[in-house]
Amino acid sequence: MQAEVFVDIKNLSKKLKEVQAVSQLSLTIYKNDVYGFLGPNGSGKSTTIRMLLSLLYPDSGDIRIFGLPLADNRNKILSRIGSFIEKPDFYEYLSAFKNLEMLSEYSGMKPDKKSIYETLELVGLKERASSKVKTFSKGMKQRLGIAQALLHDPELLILDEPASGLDPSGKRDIRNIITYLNKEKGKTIILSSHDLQEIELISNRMVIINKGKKVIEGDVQELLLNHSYFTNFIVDKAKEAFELLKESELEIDQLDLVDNVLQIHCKRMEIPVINNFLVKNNFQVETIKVEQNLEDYFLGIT
Amino acid sequence: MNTLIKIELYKIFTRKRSYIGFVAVIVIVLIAQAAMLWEGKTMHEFLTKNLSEAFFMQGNLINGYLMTYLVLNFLWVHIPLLIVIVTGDLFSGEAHGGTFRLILSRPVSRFRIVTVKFIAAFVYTSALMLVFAVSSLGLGLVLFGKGDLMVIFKAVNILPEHDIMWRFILAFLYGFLGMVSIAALSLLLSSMANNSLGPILSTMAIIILFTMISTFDFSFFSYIRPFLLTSYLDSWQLLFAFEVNLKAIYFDAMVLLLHVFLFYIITVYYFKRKDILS
Repeated sequence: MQAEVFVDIKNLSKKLKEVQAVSQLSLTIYKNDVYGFLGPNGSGKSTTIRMLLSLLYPDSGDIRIFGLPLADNRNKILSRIGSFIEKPDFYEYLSAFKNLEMLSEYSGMKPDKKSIYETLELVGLKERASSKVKTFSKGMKQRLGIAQALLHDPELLILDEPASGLDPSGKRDIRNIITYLNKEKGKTIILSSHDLQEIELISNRMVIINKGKKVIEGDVQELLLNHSYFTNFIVDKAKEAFELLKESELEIDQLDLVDNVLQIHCKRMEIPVINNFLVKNNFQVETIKVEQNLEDYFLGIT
Repeated sequence: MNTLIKIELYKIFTRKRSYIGFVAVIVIVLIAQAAMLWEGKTMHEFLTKNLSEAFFMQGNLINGYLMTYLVLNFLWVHIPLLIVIVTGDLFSGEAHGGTFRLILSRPVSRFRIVTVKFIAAFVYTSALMLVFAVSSLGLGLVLFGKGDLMVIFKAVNILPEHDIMWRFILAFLYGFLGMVSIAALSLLLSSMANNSLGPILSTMAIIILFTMISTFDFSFFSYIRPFLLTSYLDSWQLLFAFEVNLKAIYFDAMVLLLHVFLFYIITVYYFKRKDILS
């Protein structure tokens, strides 16, 4: 059975200062998706997200959320959406608690101290509830940004680069929170990012846009499994391994030996096969490093 | 709506910059009164030298009422500046701080956001005007006492002590209306800006420019003067004529109200269509 469509965008276009930021974009997001929204900086991700939240008005196209046209049901729809857009800006002169209390009132809710503290606890900020936001680090603000998006227990979360600028541990924290919200709380999540690896780790479906246009959309695993990865194998006797691989019948798209490192382009599913092949032939595989970024992926599919 | 107004007022009154106006008003009034206490008599003698040659002057002419009347002239530029420091930041501050993203992505209409910001700005203006009225009139009467009020406005008017207070009450109310119209102008400009300084400076530039046009006696300006907001800001002075033309004051007050309404409507129209890019 096909899952319920939560967000349906058709032929969406928006021009900003003479630049076509989004052009004829169509997307479908289903209930319980963690939908990766990928694209390089300036690709139109934030513009699209702002249109979903009616911060920007489309020049043309149609947006339906929860089956309702956004233009006619703005408040009804927004009451079921939580969002975090680009960077976490708050009333810096107020405490984290007061910010959340005020924002829950903007959402039309009576502020509930217990649920505000619970939300702060979820993002690990309960102890800092009474601290002014201006004393927070960037990571803490990012987490507070997620907290404010969750305040009114929305069904759909739209998170625009929530891990941007964070260190690896901060990124992991955000990732864990998103996974928890999807798996345990059943939230549907649109996650915008320019980090392919981040999307790969937590999304089930994804779209890539560039210059405001859709490049590809589909199941993350299917899209990435069939794509050629650039992988570094560090092995002992690298030259011999290189010769052996060259003669083998393994599905390798490209093979190079650079500074005693085997550089292999192959499909993801081939990586363990190559590893097994090398081990069986008595090579010691010290490191396998998959180098994959959005630019490489773009080059691979375009 | 009440909740949103409370939030807006909370945001205004938890910021330190909102108190600059109150402190400045009290300081301005104190300085003016201290100066008059110091050398008021000399100044008064100088100003009324010609009159005292023709008339016999008796009683306490340098009194709290005269002080308040003089201080009311700060309504030209000083008080507007103190008001727009806060009101000119109400929209643009949110745009600059990125907090519009937070509140406008929630189920609250832009019409409501505009309306509560206008109401909050008017509450702030009324609080500032109340402090201005109480400090100038209260302190003036404490330091200088009561007496008849001599006003030189088109003619020399000497208003008896018992006939003054109602004029001040109406003058401050009219002044409040004038300041509300300036606050509304600054809100309109603020809704179009993404930084705080722009609308504050633009509002002041408009007031200064319009005031110059309103006060310079060139015939060319007489054609455009009726259309300028500043031409109606000083009509509180009419309340200190010997015979008050209430009809003229009422008309001018209606023009100010019309300005407030127009600024509000344009702000709603503009802001409802505005793309939030900050």
